[in-house]
Amino acid sequence: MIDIILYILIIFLALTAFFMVFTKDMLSSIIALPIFGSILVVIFVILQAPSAALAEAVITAGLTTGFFVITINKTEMQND
Amino acid sequence: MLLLYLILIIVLSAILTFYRVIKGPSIPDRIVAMNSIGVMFLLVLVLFSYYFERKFIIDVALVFGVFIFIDVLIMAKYLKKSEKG
Amino acid sequence: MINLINILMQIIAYVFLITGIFFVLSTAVAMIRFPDLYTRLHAGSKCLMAGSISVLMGCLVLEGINLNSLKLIVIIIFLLVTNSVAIHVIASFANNHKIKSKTITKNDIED
Repeated sequence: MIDIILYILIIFLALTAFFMVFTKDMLSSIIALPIFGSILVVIFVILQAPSAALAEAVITAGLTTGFFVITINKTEMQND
Repeated sequence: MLLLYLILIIVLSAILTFYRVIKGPSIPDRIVAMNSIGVMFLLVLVLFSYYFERKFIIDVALVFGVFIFIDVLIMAKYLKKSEKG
Repeated sequence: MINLINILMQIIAYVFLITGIFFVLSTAVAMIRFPDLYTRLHAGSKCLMAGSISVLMGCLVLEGINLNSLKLIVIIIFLLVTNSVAIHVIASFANNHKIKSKTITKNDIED
């Protein structure tokens, strides 16, 4: 039963990663980044590594998204 | 064993909510869906803490909730200029 | 007697959990079916909070009085404060960009 949840989460992780790569808008790609981090936190908890899950929750779901958003804010959009 | 079925239903509802992230017409639709998915995975972490009998996972859930909130605040403050319209 | 109280606590906890998971699933259906941004904000605020607080109350009954139950109470109070603020910030962000709702009643037309 726990295997089925793990496989569903891995498929969901791949779906999120494909959406982040192949979307047209850059802001949609940034919004999908905390979802990727949260799925990875749950996968680390299932694989019995809660310390790595804590570090992952701080880094990917928190700091990286904030840095990317502030960086995208400082650029200008080019309308062709 | 019933706890695992409840976790499975929450994960399936998170996948259903991800449809709104893919097909949202505007940026705030996607941010609302992202917030909902974050709270759902926080519930999954709390339920796994009771399934595995390891109470350290509740701390992970608490830190995770704080950072999802900070993400929403930063997006709503700094994505203002660069939206198309 | 103690065994009977234990079974009763288990039944109360699982009733809380199943009620909360019904609300979470209805949030997911609402995110797909609702036609507009502001109705989705309503679903993401109230319905999700009803579900998550009910699930955490079920875990609280399952736990008993302990140090870990204090952390669960902290999570409940934190979510009550936090999610309301987040949804309000998103609604303000949508209002600054002039996103209009699809279902306009007669009183909303001002020009």
